[in-house]
Amino acid sequence: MFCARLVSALLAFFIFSGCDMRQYPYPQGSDRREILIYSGMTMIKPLLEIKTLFEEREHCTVKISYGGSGHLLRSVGVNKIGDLFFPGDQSYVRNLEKQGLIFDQVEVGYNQIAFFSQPGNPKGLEANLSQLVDKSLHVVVGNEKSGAVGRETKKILEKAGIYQAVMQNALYLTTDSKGLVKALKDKDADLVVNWKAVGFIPENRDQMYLIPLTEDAAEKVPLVMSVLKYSQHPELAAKFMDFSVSETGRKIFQRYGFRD
Amino acid sequence: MILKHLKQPIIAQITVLVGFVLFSLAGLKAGNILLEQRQNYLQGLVKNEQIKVEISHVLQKKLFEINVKIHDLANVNSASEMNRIFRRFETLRHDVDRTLEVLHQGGEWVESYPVNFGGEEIITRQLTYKNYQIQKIDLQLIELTAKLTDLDQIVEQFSAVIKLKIKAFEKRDAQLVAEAVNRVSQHYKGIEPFFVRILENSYRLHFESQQEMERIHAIHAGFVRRFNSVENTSGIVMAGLILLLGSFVLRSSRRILNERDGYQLELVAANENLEKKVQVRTLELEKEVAERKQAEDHVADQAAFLLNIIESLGHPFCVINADNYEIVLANTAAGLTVGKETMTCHALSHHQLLPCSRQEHPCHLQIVKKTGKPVVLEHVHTNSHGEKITVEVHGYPVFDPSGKLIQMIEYTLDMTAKKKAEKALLEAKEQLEDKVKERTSALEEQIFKRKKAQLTLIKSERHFRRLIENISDIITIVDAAGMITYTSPSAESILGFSPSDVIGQDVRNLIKPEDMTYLDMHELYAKYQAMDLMRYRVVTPDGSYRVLESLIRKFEQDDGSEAYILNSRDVTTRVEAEEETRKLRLVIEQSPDSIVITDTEGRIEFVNAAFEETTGYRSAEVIGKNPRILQSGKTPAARFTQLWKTISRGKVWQGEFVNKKKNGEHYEENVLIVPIKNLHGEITNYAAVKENITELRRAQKQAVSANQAKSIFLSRMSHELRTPLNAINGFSQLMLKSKKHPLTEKQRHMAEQILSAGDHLLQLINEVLDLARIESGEFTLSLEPVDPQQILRECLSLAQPLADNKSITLINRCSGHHFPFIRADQTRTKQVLLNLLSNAVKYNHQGGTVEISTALEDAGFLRFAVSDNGLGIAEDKHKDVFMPFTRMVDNPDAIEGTGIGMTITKQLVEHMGGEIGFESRLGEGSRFWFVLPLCTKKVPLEQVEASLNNGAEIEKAESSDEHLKHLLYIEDNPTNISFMREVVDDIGGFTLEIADSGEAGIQAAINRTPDLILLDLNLPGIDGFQVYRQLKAQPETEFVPVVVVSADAMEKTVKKIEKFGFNGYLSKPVKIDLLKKTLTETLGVE
Repeated sequence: MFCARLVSALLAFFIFSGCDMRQYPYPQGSDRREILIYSGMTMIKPLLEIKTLFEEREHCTVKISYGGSGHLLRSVGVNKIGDLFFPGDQSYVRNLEKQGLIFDQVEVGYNQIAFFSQPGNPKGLEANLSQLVDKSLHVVVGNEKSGAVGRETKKILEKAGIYQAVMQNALYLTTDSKGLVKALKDKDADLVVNWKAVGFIPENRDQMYLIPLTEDAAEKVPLVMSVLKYSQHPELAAKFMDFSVSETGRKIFQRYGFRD
Repeated sequence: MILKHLKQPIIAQITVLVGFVLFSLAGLKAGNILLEQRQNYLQGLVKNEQIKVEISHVLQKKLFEINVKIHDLANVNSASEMNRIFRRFETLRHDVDRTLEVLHQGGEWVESYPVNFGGEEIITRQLTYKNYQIQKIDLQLIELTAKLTDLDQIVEQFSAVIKLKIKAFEKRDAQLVAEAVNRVSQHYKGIEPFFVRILENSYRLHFESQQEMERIHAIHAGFVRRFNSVENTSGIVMAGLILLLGSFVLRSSRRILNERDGYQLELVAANENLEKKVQVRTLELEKEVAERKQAEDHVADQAAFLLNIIESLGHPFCVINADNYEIVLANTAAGLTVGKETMTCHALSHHQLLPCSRQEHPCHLQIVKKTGKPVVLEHVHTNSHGEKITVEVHGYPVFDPSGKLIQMIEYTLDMTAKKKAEKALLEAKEQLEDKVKERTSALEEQIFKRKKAQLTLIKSERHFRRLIENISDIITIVDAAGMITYTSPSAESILGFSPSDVIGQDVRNLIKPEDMTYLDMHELYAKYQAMDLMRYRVVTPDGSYRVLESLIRKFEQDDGSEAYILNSRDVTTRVEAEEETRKLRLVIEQSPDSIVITDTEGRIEFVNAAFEETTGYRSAEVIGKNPRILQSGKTPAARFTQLWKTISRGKVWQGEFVNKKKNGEHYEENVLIVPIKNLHGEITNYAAVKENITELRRAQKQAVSANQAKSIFLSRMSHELRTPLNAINGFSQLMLKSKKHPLTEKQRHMAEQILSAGDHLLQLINEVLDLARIESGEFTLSLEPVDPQQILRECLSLAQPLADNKSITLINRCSGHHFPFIRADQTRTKQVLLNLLSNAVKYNHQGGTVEISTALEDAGFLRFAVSDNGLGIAEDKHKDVFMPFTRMVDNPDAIEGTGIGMTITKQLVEHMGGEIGFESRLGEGSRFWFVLPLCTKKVPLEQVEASLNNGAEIEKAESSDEHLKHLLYIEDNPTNISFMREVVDDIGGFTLEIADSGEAGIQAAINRTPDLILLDLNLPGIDGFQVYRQLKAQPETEFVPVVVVSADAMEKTVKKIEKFGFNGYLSKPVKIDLLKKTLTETLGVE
């Protein structure tokens, strides 16, 4: 009796185990729903915190493509996938909206341009735009073609009539706010023009000196998160958007200087 | 339960044990195979991920190289260097796209690794990758794909800046170079950090690939461990089970063997009982044998009786052993002698050692043995006297009780006499048949020969008929009375007569009477029989004539009468050609121009009468000589070199010589030399047509001299007129302005008339004076480096008020372009351009357009062109455009003008080393152009700086249009053009230029580089694909994006568009949103 059962068990093992011999060993949790967010570089820190909480809550995976907002805009156009679009400047959302690619949107905070100098402001720089054309200073600014910070910088400098002069004086142009932070950390720049919120990131606080600009010189720019029409999981994307403006989300954005 | 049943028989138990062992081994093996499959699969996945790591490394390398190329691009100083870098850049971009595609979609990538430094030896490695997680979002691939698109745009913009830099280097202008280098540097500032981002993505891709590979590798390693463990455990378990089952079978077998020993003892006792029973049975059998012997004796007596009966038979009778053919029993008639009782039947009857042959002489014994039935055969036997006799043999089978054939009874009847009679009868019959066959064969041969002769005759007749019917000549048979009895079918194709029309007709009725005076056939034959050709004309049914040449032959017909064969050939074409040649020869001989024909070496073969008259040489004196006998030494030697170079290439040469007559007198001639070629295109002769222009030249010189004298006279007269005219105009103005003595209304009107007439007269005098100065050579030009842009700007600003008065739009196609300096007189160049502009405005409709454009010419000239859509000039007046005092309009008074402006303009342009021309159509407009030489000397820096500063000002002034993107639409359909205009206006932010053909589109794109070209494929002249190729071949338009707008949506065309690499495709009817999106994406504007 025992032998018969043993033989049957072995037979069953060999016959049925053959079915899974060529199954791909996907990593754990790979069967979860996935959403893709295009995010401006400056907002990446709060967004990562929200992502962690949201993934636990919804048992899903959130992937974030971050960089200069101009680049993200083109990435949406080129790849034609993705669920949420969160650029550093709402004009990029308007652009997609004109193309009929925006499904829903919500304002989650604001951005504002500021000056940053080396820690302790050794050169005694002030909130004065004319310093950007000072040939004795190493100035680094964002590239208007690739990121929101560059575009907003251009807007402010054109308003002041010194854009071309600043371009002449700039040491180099970065694609996004991260590049501007790096310029200060690498001691390449004496003065950079970046989003104010960058100064709120804990690891940046000791690496740079924030010189705020007045709202006359640099207006607050609304931060808009939007659901893309390409979304494969629009309901999940909408939930993420709602979560970002929930009490939890607001606090996180506030902590990083995107809300008052 | 199964095992319980199998416990009893020991073999069954051992079978189960062996079966179990085999099954266990098979199971273990199967399990092992499956697990190995899994292990191999995982190993394959590890390799797959290793390939991904390798491809991502390749991607990194390519991106690094692109980075280096962009850096190199920043430092290029020449177009060739830039093109080389671009070619490499395009290759790298293609490679990067392909690697990204392989990483995303899976596929194959072939990577080449140079083995040595020079790359002469290359190893290629084939990397095949499969993406098992294609449904998952791969951030790095997404970001890289997008950034590479950005990169393409950045490089395109960067290349535009680099081109400016190269142009600045080419101009060798320090200021421009510095400015260009500065712009390059500024652009490059943005590229380097951007590239850092791209490389970040490639690092992450590489890192993530490595991570995935390590994860799969860990899974594989874990599986291998588990696999070994399972394999060992299952082996041990199976061995234990086999041992357990074996011991069970052993114990059961031992019990069965003990039972077998008990059964053996019982068997011995049973054997002893059986022996006793055998002894009793033996005694019973001995008694039975004695009884059987007695019965056999009785049978022997009966046999002796039968033998006596057989002996008494008259025919041979034998009993033969079926096994060896030996005669067992025979009677005396059989002839078997005493002492030969063991003789075989064949030895007895045939005297041979072997039985009869089956085929020729069948053995009846064998037949009986085979069939088991009686048989009757005919044999030839040898009797006891040695004679051959024909016998009939009867054979009967004898069987034993079991039915086996053991013997055969044979008795023989002599048939010899009967056979002989039959044979004689047969021979007689055969002889008769042979005779019949012989006669039949002779008759058949006669018939065959006759048929063959008939066939040869038919074939021959057919051959000659075909020959006659297919020759191009006309074969006609005429009897002695001249009546046609036969004509070949070619008469129909040549003359239009079918044979049935002419057979029976008199042949002379067809011939034109005046061509044939010999009407009698005998006479005709007598006249032409000696191979002479008769030439005459035949009237065809349509009334025309054909010229025939005929040979006449006489022959005798079958009935003995005479007949004639006419072999005629159509020579009409040849006769006509001879006539043409005769006419041409007359033309050449009577031509007033000298005509000389030479061979290819230049030896004179023919000269006409005019040559003799002009040169004084007789034809016989120059035939075979070279025309150089006429050389005077006053024609430049280079002209003769050029002449021979031209005509030896098979081209026509025209020029002038100063030659010498026989009497030494010089004369000038205009010569046209034409190579004469044979049918194979080879030059066989040269023909020279020479016009004596000595008198013409003399007259021209006199005319020029007279013209100069006239100009000097006009100049003096004009000067004398200007003095009183100054007084008239000056005082008229004073009268009009005087406040002290104001004029009455009537006086004012009269004074204004005086001033207006005076101004007109002054302008006329000034221009006459100008022309006079130019023609008399009394004016000087200050040729210096002149900035064409400055000339253009000044002239446009002067012409603008004139244009505004007539609401005419002045379009400057040169805006934004920089052209090299020209070598010209600045004031005079302005005068020329302004004259063309003012004419374009004056001779235009209200609300018309005037365009000005400039373009570099290949031969170091700059071309200025002024086009208008005004009145245009009638073709018959084109020749008078540059003639003085001629007006091109029907009503000259309606449009103010002196009529010498264009004469002066032409003189000025030509004195500055340029050329002027125009194209015009009445009612459609005109396009006047002139070219001036470019400045070859270095231009002073200050002058260039001034030019650039002025340009900057102008650019600022035009900046309202500068932010608009310029589109060029190449399309020939007016409806589509109209639609596109409306759409582009509606979208806003673009200017639209139209070209209605491919060639016009290319020229427009070169004249003003557009930001984007919209291109129709189906165009007059060259098609859209050819336009694209040519655009990409031009440095000015090489990088301009081109979007196809076509109604051809066939899959084949769309694939071709993709293959060509167009920047987009819009199918007609164009959707506005789609067009807008394409423009936005391609130009990177919002």
